[in-house]
Amino acid sequence: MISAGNDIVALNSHSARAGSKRFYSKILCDPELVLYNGQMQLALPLYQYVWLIWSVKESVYKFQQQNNPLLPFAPKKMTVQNVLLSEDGAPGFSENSGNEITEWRNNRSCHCTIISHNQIFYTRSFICSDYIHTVANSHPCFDNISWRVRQIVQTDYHTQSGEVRSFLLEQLRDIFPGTLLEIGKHAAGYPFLLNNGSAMPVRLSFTHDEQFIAYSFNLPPGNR
Amino acid sequence: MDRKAILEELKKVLAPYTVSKAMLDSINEQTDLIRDLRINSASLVDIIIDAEEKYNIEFDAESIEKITSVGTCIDIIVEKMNQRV
Repeated sequence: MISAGNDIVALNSHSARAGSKRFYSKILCDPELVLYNGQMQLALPLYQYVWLIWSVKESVYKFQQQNNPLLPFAPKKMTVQNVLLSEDGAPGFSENSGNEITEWRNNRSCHCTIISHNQIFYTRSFICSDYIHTVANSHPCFDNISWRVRQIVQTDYHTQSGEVRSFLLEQLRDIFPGTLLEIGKHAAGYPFLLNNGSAMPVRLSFTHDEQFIAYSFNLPPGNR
Repeated sequence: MDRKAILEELKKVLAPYTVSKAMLDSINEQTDLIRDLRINSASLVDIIIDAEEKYNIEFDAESIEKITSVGTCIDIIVEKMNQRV
């Protein structure tokens, strides 16, 4: 399945309730709680785990939605099977992020496997004290996926929305020189790429939360 | 409590989570929570918990996946309030 999905959670603006049972019981299903109560609780505080699972599910939902626009977001019908944290990063992830992350650093990454609507998906997350960013794919190899995170100053919706589009187009114009690229938006809410008004076979995903903006895209084989 | 009254109360629940105050004043049942009110999806669980407390109800997983618009939110609140009676 060719698609793209990514999600970012600004931890400082959402973490207040995430550790309460009332909150996480709406996101986590029983196997995910079992997973946390095993070794995971030694590696991550509960609120970070909850937002990690949220980010994983949201990114996979965005990935699936591009092929099924009517799909509802049903976090408890998605089950994270496996969470692999890199050993160097646990516990804590206390370092602040830099302004822009363009590749995974081994000591801060997390790989998950998740089942959603009877399909298996793979995610990679970057976890730090400021945010959790996750990228989804239908294949365990992420060579076809590009992504970036950037920190911005103004956090109003229009600035976030404009900045994330400019941010993505900066990279795509390098990949497709001489094109007239624009971003369109499907009625279901996901973005798509146009060149001089015609759709291009590149799947895109945007996300923004507070001062963080991020994108991922999936290039067709001939452009990798 | 009729749907109009629930909608008015729901505005108060949604207010802390949207920056689009003008849009909030003019919401109707077709208003999409994320696309129209610009509510961050990560705030949806907070909204659900606030609504649960306000109406003394509980949203189950099946209900949560139906929440997309103000109207679907009111549907669930009405359904759960009727179950309580």
